[in-house]
Amino acid sequence: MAARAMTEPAFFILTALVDAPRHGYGIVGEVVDLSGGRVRLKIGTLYGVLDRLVADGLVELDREEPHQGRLRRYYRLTDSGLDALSTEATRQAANAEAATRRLGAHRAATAGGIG
Amino acid sequence: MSSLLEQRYRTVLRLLPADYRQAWGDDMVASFMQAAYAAAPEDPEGVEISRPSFAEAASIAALALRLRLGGSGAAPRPFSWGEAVRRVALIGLLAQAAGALSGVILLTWALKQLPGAMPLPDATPAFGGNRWLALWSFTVLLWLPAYLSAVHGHHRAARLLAAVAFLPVLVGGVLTMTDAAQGGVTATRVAWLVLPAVPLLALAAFGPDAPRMRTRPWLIALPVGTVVLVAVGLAAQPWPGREQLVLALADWPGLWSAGVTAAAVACLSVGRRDRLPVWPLALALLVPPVLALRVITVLDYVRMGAYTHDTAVAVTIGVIQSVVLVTVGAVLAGTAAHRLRRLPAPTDTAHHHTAATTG
Repeated sequence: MAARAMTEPAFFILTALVDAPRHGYGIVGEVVDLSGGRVRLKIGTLYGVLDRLVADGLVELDREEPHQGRLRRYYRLTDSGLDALSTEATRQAANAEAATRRLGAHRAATAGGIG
Repeated sequence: MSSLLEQRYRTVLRLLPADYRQAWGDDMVASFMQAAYAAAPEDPEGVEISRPSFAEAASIAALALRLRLGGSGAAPRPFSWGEAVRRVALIGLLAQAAGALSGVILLTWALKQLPGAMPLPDATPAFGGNRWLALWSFTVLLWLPAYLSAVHGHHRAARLLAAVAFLPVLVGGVLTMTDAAQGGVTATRVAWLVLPAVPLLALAAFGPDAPRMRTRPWLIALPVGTVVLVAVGLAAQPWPGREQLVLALADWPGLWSAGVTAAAVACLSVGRRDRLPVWPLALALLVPPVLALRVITVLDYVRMGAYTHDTAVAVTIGVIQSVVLVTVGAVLAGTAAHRLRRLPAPTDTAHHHTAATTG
């Protein structure tokens, strides 16, 4: 996984699994909440990313439960998944902080120019 | 009993490789159906007879494409297919870019704009004095940034630039085909549109997992290809007595036929040092569109104009090129299929993660 940049859907899917194992539709709903409604995963996208996360050892099957005549699979984060998410969150926070710092300086300079 | 919606969704899932469907299909259906019912809780009967949305079907199609044309980390078979299609894209873009560069050099030469160059016998450009047509003919250069972007790994930009480069080809083709005075839609015109569309479509194989390629050989190939095409263009100038023979050997389908044949001979004679059958597969994929264009243009030679000795020569050469292409294509396809079969099946290596981690 280290060689590959983490995509936004992968980031949100991992985040959705931090507090509890979830099934496919549960992940979709959680990602909508986490992203403020901005990211609405299609099923094809979700399982494309899940397949890769499982292959990379970041997510694994937690359990299967019957639900309305179907087996529902729940997925959970692995320790590697937690580490990868933590690293990515730190990277994104550092990026955001750098941008915020620059924007603050720019605003201050602009305000000084106007005044 | 499953609902109509579920049946329709399972039909869409058939786009996915069988092993992937086996591993994830039921769970995808469960999640999809749950999402569908949740979207319209007041009308479950309506949900059951509805159809998967275009966006859902498109997401499955995109996933199928990514799985079948694999990138880094994919199983050997889909990886071979992915690499082969990526090479088809690069070869196609290289041909368009080198063809554009050589065409512009020869055109500038014909317009007597190249200092120190001797005048060409065929010094009257086809657009004769019309500046807009002259400008239009330079739009072929748009293939150049598309090719360079693909080589340098800027895949998204390459897709966009290739679409932009294809636009004048498409507009020109459609304008000609909708003009009844020029004969409308013909197989030849469709074939001339299909060949440049091939690399554009093949660029879809450059997904986020596409491995980095060696840029230097592809960068060297551009000036080499351009020089070769300029040399062929100069040789194809209508010196007295060689008109049809040169035309038959140096027309665009003929050059493609020669290029694919030469590459196939090189690829098959080099041996099997590569474990993956990427080159035989890539060249085999190029044979059908090239063959189609060659056959259609040969038929045009037969149909157009008086049947002279020169026409007979052009047709004979075209038929020989077609037969060689069919033979080369069969050998390439056989080699690729044989070597693909020897690779481990996807079920051995991929998509069984869930089974492996169960419990």
